[in-house]
Amino acid sequence: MAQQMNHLRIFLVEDDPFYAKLLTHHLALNPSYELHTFSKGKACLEALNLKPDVICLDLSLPDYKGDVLCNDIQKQAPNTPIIFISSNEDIKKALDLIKKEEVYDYIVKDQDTTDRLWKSLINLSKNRALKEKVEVLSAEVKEKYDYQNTIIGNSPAIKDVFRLMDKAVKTNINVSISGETGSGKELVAKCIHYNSGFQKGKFIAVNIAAIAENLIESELFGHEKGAFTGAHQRHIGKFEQAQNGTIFLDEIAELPASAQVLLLRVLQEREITRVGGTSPIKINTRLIVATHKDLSELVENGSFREDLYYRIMGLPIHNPPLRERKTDLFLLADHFIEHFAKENKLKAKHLGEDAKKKLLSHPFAGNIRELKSVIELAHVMSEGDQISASDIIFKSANTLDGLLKTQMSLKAYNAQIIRHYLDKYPRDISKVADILDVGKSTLYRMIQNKEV
Amino acid sequence: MFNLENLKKTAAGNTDFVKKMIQLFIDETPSSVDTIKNSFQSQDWPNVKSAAHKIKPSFAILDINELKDEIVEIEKHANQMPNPESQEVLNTLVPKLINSFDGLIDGLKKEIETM
Repeated sequence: MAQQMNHLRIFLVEDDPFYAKLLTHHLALNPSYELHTFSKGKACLEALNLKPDVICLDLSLPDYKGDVLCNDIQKQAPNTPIIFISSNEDIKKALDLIKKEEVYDYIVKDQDTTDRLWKSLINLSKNRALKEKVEVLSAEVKEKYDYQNTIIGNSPAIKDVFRLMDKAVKTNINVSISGETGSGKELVAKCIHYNSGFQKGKFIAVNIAAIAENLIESELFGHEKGAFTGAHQRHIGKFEQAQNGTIFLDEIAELPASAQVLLLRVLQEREITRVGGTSPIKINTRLIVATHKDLSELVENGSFREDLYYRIMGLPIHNPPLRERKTDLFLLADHFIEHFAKENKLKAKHLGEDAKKKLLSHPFAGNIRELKSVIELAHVMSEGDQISASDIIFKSANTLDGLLKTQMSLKAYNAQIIRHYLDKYPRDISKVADILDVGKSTLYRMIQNKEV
Repeated sequence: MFNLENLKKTAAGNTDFVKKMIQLFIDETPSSVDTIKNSFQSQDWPNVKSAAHKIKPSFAILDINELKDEIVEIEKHANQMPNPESQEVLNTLVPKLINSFDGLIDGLKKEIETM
């Protein structure tokens, strides 16, 4: 392909000197066109190393029949678009040729030929620009979800996730992702999709918990017009939308019992039937499910079907909580600082030692999502080039929940609680002592002994 | 006999190009018309068809009113030979082409001189 977006390298293969001159003159009016004219098919074939963007071909040449030359061109330069220009008005012949994937247009030689060829080349140029744009965007998406660069971390726990993802992308096995809220389950699912053989299809994410129970079947499998009151038109369900791609069912534990039966049948038969429809539709879709709940417990207490559980488990991947990958914490924090600074056209700040210490002591019940939010706020709050401890502000919503998840000793819990209030009221030991109902001397002693 | 508006539109104001195109027609077409004439006499229909097919587009571009449709018909009927109806059509159209052609060339030469 030629280098510039609008530049077209055009081969014109025409043995009639009158017509060759006419078309050459006309096309030369467009400065973006680079024209190469040939009177014989063999000469055109010999010049294919020039990589034309399009070949305009007379159907009757002295040394070649146009359709045979078209085949020979495709052998040497596959996917090169061909525009046939012919004084042959045989419609059947034209239709047969245009059916070929590489034949872009068929133009009859008459008074309008020059205009039609001009328009055809403009359209081809636009399509090519669009195709190139799509290719660039696809490459960008692929790069964005290159998981070694997207999922930040080098802790053993996250390396184990990478190892399992490597296995997932090489096959079509179902994947089940577990992990606490905010641990990046959807990101893992997207990375698997964009690095797998299903990347040519769409990635369709569905949050089961967000869909009303009576709409789940229709949302997942679609419905036909008139299937139920309010079904004014055909609706294509999520499974069909994800044809040849990946469907990501988040919060799968919330799937009602009635829908569990339907999903099980879909996974067994590899086909869906729209609500109100009669014809089953084959599906080729990778299923990835996620939950923050322990599905095996739900199976034990009877709220999740055991047969479905085994169907969807496939390759289990557990996203570790942030507190179990503390060594990744600063890598992630730096990543979020850089990202935030870049998005807001700011100079990236760096974490001070006291800020690092404060981050390390926090349980991060909201995991990476919480860290991102804390870092972004700290970047905003910080006055200088450095983010200090006072800029790190934890929202209280999940603090107790997070604390309890860490399973520490009572002494360690005490230290966390005292540190929390010392951070909240710096330089006000009296207030902290009042709130926690402990003596000021106890607090001073703990600080002196570096217990907090 | 001919209408150069379409050619002039394609030329986008380049008179020299129009002249060259007419000259190209004057240089190239007579041999094909000769082929039609000789092949018609020897009843070599594929050759008649092929020569008519070759000159058909240039007759359309120069919008040669009297002959452009006849060339199309000559090609079509030569392709249907042997056929009594086609023979009759060709018996009319080929002599018409030959008789009119010299006048056409003269007219085009004069057109060049006046440009």
